[in-house]
Amino acid sequence: MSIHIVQLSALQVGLRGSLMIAAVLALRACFRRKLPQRLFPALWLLCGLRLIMPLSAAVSVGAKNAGAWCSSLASAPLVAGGWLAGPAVSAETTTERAAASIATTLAEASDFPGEIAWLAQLVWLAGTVLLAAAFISTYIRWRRRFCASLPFTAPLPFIEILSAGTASPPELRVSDQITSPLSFGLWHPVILLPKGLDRSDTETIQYIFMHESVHLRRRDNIKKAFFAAVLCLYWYCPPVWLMYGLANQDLEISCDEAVLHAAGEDRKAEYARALLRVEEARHGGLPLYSHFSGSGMEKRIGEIMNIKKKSALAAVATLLLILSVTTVFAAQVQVGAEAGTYRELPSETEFTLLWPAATALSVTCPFGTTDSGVFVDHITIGSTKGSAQGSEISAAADGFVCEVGWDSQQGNYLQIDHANGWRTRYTHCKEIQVAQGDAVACGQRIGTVGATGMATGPCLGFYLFREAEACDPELYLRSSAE
Amino acid sequence: MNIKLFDSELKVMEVLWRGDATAKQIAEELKRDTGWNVNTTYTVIKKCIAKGAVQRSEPNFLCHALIARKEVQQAEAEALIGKLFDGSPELLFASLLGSKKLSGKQLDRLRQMISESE
Repeated sequence: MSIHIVQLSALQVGLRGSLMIAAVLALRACFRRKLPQRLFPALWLLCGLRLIMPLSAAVSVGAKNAGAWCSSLASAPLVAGGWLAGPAVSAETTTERAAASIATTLAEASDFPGEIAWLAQLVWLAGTVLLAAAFISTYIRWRRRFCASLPFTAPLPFIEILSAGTASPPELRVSDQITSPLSFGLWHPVILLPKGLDRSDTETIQYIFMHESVHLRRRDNIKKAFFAAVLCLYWYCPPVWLMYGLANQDLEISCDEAVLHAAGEDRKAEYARALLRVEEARHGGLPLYSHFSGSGMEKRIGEIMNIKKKSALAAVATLLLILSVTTVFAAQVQVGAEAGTYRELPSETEFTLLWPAATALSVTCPFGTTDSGVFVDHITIGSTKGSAQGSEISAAADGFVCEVGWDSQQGNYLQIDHANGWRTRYTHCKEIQVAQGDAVACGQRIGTVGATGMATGPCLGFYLFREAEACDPELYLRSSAE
Repeated sequence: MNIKLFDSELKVMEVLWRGDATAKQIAEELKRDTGWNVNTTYTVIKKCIAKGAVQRSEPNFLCHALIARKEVQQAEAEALIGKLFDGSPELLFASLLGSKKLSGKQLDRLRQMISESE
């Protein structure tokens, strides 16, 4: 099994996603009324993709360029990043990997020690599962209720007028379990009307039909599900909640705009009044309550009354905006990849090590059988002139500190797990400067050379294991020139 | 005893008020009448059983109406919204309006707003 390791920075993913959300927010605040409303749902979709993409992009790009990036690993500075060792990348597992990456990233973001990182992952997973369960159960319950709706009985000519010009007109049905008209169904689209609606009010019903038909045509239900999915993965990120709320709002306004483009802008007051009639029908004959805030509706009516045909200039500006945002978005993924943000460790055949000690030191005792017939399962790194005491030991490759300990033979030692079954061990250390569970990057300082345990002088015992088998580290060492 | 039923549940009751029927018979009749598929009908029947309006007996899932027509009240849609862990439909479906209701006063103010900006 080939295992890929993706390292990415929580701060970077979170920040870039949030930055993009902030950019759209600013744009929305400044030019909301100047630009076509349709632009905004499109921009939110890009933001959502941005949040989901880095993971999958890293995976696919990484698979191709794993080798090329190895060299950059050595010089790349330590990024506060997370690790993920997952199953081989295939289309089906990409999502899981994405999810797991975010979890790991979240956990690693603040340099938590191992157990807390593990706990943070658990919290993230619990939140995601809970939120997803809430969405899915909401979906299933309502979907069931919608299915139990009744056919809309109206004079046939009326229905024909409504569906004129649509190839496969959505079916109209009535339910007494809803208070607002809505639409559902991908293959067999249905527009559901609340029972309280006046069936003889053909004008209102016609506007509802137009509005919901736009939603159906644009597949807005899928977009809503997508935003909900992004929210499930990033529930810990406040800007994503903001995006979720605004995206759903903008889908509606954008739909209102489309209706008015089709019906004619001079009808906007008529359309707004129709919306209010639907709202009024909710109350039925009951006395009106006043404990709910209606600011959302007020905003929406305000927007509707402000919908104007946008100039050709605005259309061009919109196109340019979408193009530039898309480009920046794509570039970020690429730059990120090149900068080693989405690092791919070499796969099993390409596994390489960085010299783990000061460059002045050298191998004083090689791996293998000595002249006296003793098998040595490691290399000893020491100094031929001067003392190695206190010089730096660095991680030979990216990984997790899986063991830190002391015994009478090896003295202070630590072991790093590099996934794929590769492990390195560093013995006789004077000090160890990382803790069990820490993520370490290739080249990161992990301790200092000493003479603890059974050592004749200051030296570093360096071991490489593949599964349980000892390997000669020198065969895997990168030349220092790289 | 009064039981609050939705129109869908009332459809099932109407079949049963004409005489006991098996779930399969109800499903066939309602398929013609409302276009429901078998699963939808079964779900609604189960809801009626849960509300105590229908009694089920074996064999063949024979259903019997436990209440008379005059004991039925219209259930309110509002009762479905806002329960914990049971979100409102506009979270996932393209809904014309949100789940928050406006007051009469607010409606009047919005009407005025429309007239002013006309």
